[in-house]
Amino acid sequence: MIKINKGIAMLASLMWLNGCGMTNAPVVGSGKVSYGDTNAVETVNTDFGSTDLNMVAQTMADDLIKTGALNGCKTYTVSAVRNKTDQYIDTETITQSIKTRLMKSNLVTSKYVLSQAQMQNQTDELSRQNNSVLYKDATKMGQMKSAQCRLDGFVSSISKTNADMKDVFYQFNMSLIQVDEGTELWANEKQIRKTKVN
Amino acid sequence: MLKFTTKKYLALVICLLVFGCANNPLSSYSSNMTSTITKLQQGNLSQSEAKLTKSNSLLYYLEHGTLMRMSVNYSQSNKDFTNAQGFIDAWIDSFHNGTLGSASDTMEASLINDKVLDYVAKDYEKVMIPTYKSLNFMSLNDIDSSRVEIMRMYNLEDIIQNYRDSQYAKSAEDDKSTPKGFPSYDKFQSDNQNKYDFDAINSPEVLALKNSYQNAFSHYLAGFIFEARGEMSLARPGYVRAGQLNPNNKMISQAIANIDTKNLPDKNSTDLLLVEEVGHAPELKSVQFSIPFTTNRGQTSCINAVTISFPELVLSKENYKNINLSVDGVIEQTTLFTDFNLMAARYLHDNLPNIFLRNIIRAAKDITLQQTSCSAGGSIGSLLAVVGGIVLGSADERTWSLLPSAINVKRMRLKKGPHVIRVTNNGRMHETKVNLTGNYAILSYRVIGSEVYFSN
Repeated sequence: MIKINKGIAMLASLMWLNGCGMTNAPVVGSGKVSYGDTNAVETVNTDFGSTDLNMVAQTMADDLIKTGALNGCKTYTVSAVRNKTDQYIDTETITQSIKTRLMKSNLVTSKYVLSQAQMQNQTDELSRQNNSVLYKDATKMGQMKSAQCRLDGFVSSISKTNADMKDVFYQFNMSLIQVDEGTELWANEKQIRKTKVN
Repeated sequence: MLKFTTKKYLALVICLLVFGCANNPLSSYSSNMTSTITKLQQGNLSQSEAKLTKSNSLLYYLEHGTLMRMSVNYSQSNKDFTNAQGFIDAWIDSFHNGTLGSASDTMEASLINDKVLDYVAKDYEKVMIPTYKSLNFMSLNDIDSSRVEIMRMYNLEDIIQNYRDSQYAKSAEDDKSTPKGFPSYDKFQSDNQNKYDFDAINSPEVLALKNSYQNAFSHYLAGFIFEARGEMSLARPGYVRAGQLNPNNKMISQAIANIDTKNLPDKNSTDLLLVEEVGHAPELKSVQFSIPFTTNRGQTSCINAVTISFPELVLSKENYKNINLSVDGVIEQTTLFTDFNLMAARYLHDNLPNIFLRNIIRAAKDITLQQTSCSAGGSIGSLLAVVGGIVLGSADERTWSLLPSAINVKRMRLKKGPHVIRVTNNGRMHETKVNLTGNYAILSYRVIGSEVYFSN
């Protein structure tokens, strides 16, 4: 027979009452909307989707980290990835996801500098600080680091359809380019095929 | 199986006539809208608005939202279109939960006609709601909200495509054969070529359209808005899709080339998009086919009639081919991007087989009624049923009337600063001045009758 110490039982009760990090938050709403697993495989249709985005970002970031090519650059940025498909793919989401994975890795020593797409907000803030009399410690202009290397790439697709099926082949190409020399330090590609049978 | 006695049927008719349904099955929408359009053509926006019957209906919001847009009252226009969007969202929900309209609606429609149902926007009309909202937000200098709406546009297209795919799959499974004694759709079509303009909905131009909901203008606009925001990875597919829908359009291929070669407006120039909306959408007119025949029940012989009604397109007779556009005194030529006359024809082309089947069900109902009244006591009852069938069996004539018949576009790279835009139609010249300050700008104008309504 198992004997339960009173103190342990009380502690367990308190933990249960207070939740102890297992709080069941009250749900507001009809219950028809729910949260899903962000890593779940999405195959709603043949369009470029969240699973493809995760696959591409993971493949590119992992390979870039593994080769160590990025550490040959003190600083790097990402250029706008060209979308050569006929689908509305926001490639900035892909490049920012790759960048985030690179920055989270302890193996990457290269520093990320803001991309062209992010620069407008940065210059706006610098101007705001320097054009205002409110700040005595306004950040100085002309101190920003330039990118020694840049990540560039494109995504393209080939789509074929007949009465029975639709087949879409995606290819995502990426390369690391040394800005001053224009030399390519690393390149990789990720291919994805999605088929829908009617 | 549906069984209605003559008394119940007549009671239903009286109920509809006296109290009215939410949507009166006897009313003609196109007739109601004629005075609104006439006032618009005469340049009287406020009187045109007064002619609209205010209601909490999708069509009211669509028509009023368009009028408010022409009145340069973009906030109110967006409120109307947001209300209209609510109806589309409900339609999307009904598609997702598999109901697609309530059972009572379906029952009413199969017994009387489609007009008793709440209006469901045609596919191309659905897509134009977020497109117009996007244009409105551009006029309000709110490009972020404009971007939200244009994304909503192509997401909505995907939903419509899924809906159409599922309908196609379902119809492949369904028994499409007509009830015994009724002709097939193909047979009916070939037998009635002289009564209905089937050629207008089967023309090569109509069949060349990919479908009835994707239009080149909305995607080109998406490309332009994304380009204006510097989001080239989204701008390019916008132009590419526009090109797929409107092949051989040089303006579209130039926009793609500009992105690929980074030929974008510099700090001294503006890419101005001139959006020319002309005329109004085609009206729908109900065309009826009443086929009398005799049935015998025992010793009694009765005259019966099958009433079939189809909506037919009535294109505006106004000529908008000689509109003259000039920018700073130089004549410019616009390019046709979207032809709503063709899209409406394509919609009918795709939907007439379904409308035909619904009519057959009604016809079967008519026969049941007439046979019932025949056995009940003779030819007077039969005649009433025949008349009832003819009166109530008219096709749904509702449509978003104030949509234009076509959208033409001109894109120009101009120096920043003041410019004069002139539009001449039917000998009347209309002028507006724009002061270009950013790298991208849109100016819309609506040509209707001899009037021109600028968006600034």
